[in-house]
Amino acid sequence: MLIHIFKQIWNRKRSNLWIGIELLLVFCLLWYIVDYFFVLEYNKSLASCRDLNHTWQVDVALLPEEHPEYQPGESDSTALLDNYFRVLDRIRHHKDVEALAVLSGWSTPGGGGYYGDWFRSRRDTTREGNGQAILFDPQTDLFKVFRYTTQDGKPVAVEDFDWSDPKAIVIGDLAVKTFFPDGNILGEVLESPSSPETNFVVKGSIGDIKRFDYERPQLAFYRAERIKADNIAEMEIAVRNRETVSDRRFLQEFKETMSRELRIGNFYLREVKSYKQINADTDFSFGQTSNVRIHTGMMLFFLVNIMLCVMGTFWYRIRVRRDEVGLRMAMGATRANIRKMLVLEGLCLLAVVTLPAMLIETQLVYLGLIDTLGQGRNNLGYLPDRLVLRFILTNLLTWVLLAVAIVVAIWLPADKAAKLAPADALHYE
Amino acid sequence: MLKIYLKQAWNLIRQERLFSLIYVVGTGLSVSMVMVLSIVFYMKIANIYPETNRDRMLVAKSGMIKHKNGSQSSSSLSESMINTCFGSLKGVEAVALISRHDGECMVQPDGDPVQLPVTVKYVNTVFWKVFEFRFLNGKPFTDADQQSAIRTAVIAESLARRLFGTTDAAGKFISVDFRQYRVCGVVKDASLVTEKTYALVWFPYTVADGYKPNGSWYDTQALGDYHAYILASKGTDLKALKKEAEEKAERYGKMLGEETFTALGQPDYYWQSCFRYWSNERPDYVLLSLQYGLIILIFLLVPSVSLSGMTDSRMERRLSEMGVRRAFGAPVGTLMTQIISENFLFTALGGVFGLIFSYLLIYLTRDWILQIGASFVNALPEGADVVFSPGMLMNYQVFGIALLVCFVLNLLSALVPAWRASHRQIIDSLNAK
Repeated sequence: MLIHIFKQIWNRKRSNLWIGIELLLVFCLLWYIVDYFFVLEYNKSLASCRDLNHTWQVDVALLPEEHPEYQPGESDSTALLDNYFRVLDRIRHHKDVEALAVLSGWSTPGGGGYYGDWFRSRRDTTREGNGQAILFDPQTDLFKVFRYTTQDGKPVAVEDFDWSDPKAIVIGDLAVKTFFPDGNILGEVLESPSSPETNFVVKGSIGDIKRFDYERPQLAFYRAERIKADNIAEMEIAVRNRETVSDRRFLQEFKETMSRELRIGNFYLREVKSYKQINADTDFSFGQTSNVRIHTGMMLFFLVNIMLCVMGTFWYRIRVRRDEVGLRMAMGATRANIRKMLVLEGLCLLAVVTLPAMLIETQLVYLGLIDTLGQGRNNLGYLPDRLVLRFILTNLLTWVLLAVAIVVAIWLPADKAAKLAPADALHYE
Repeated sequence: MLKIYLKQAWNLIRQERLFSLIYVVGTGLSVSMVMVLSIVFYMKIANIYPETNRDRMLVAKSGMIKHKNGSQSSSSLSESMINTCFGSLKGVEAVALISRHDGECMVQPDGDPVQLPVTVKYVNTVFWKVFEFRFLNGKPFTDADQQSAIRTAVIAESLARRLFGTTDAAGKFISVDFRQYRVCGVVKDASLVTEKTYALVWFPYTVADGYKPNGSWYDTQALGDYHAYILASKGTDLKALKKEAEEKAERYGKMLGEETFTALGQPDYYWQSCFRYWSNERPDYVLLSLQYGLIILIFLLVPSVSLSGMTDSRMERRLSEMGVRRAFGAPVGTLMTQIISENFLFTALGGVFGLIFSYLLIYLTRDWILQIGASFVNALPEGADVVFSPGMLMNYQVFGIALLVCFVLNLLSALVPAWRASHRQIIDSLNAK
């Protein structure tokens, strides 16, 4: 059967040449995009040991001096701090708030902000690395608000670690592997390579997080930044709502009651935003959202093109080959046989171009035109870094995608051919 | 003769509806992709209200300082750098300043507790000369307002209607972030398409918080808060002016004492400035044009191969007709012209479909498509929408590009099949059924 089909393809090489070239072109271009999505989806599938669902950024601001309700008496540092703690208490005691945290505005989860730390291990000074510092007030529970877990999934809380030491630091799992591969971390010291007098004492480790969903995890350092009168403006309040209420109800009700209750001193509630939304906005402004849309658009464009090409060409081919179809039917081929033969013909064409396409692709790889999203943050043997395996997998995916497109495109003309009455078809002979 | 060809082609379309549909959709897709790119760049580069002078404009947005210790800083430009380098050049009509500290502020409407978010820009007085906004009421703020940092504002028509119910708002007061500003003029709204000048409220740059006359960023002299839009007077040779301005900026950069400053090849032509995203890097325009050229080539080539395939199969069915015509002495050239012009009817139909489809695509993706290629995509200001005027989408340049794309696509998809069909042996052709 297969030999027979290849013979037919060969005999029609003239018109098959066009489909062949088109398939070759689209195979390579589509592979490029499949590769992009492969890496993207792989990165997304890497676990992030925190959960942004049901969490909210509560934006509390100070009235400007020009505001009619501004009270000059409430602006000195003690009044400011007292009022701020009253604000925190009122939020904490809201009936649907499960946990509250105060963290630095640089560390907004999903916010794209980055406050870098550069450390080396004092024990082995050759081990150093860059990572994101996440600063928060340890009197509040950052880990509970964002449901942090250890690398193996056990929940953690801020009070699991000793924050009484002003030099306390908690590090992510990747930092453990980078600085202390033997796993002994308690009491170890991390210091800045440029000024070793800046140093921190490791109090424990938690699971890795990703700064962006579509990138790999990175080194993370959790440090204490206590609320003071002069840093209130840079801190943000995060809360988690109880799962017994829906997010929408919570937002509506929380905003309504808190707009009144948080008018303390010169403080007022400016905005409540979900961290999911903040994360989506970050993806948008970092160009990731439009990148995904452009890649999706291109992929659809290529697929539609190949489908139109296959459909158009087969449509004509079947009209020209009516007599052949009639003859086959007269010799006892069923309708299913006819359909199967035509679909197989399309798939064989695809098979023929696969090898040349892969050859062209290797040239693209060789030229360094393929970039890996999120590479460079850390290279600890992720799948996309294993070039050969990735190449085979992405080609396989491309093949399946194209095969589906071809089968769908051939189905309509093939069905029409199969439904031809044998007498009609033979009549053309 | 052409009429007969087209008539024949029209009959072919009617005979083979499904095939024609596939062909037209294929062409349309390709045309729409190329047109989306073209229209986006048209809107970025062509003279569009209120940026109607883009074709005689030079833009300098940023510069870089090399410090004594080898480190580098880059940022927007200072007022004094802009004035020294570009203010006194011959052929310069005006230099508009736009502060990079634009952003969203809150307007407190009279007697309404709900505040309105508005986009605000800080500009100088000649901004109104460089960018030809249409004043519906009042005037721009004056030099005196600017010098004494008097809280005045020009507002957009839509905001005036929203706050006062009328465009006659000059002399009234608005409250922005609880400060009172006197409205001195009302202008016709600009669209977010011209995002560099878009705002609902424009203030003199001197009223901005933290403004210091001739201030600069960390006393670097050259770096500051401003982007300069240099308008050349009519008839000035823009290329010569650009060269002169570049040289002046470089000379200025060497006279700063211990630090050296470079404007990295700025001022740019307006179109170049659209690709300048980083303040410490010169864009590689050759690479950029290669990239966009490759994308357009892919958009044309991928469909044209498949269209060629379809044209070729169609020709195969008409081989006998070709054979008869050649047997009666039709020259190869005539046959090829016929096939290509017949095919143009298909392509043109696809072109119309593609152009309409590209309008739809642009409309659906309006919140980000104009920032295609940018490293950071600015989200739309709250409550704002990108509005297209018919002139931005439908004009002879856009139609011209669409027609050109059709021509190219038609040639790409019909030339080879036409050549092959008209060069077959007559005997073969005649023999074909």
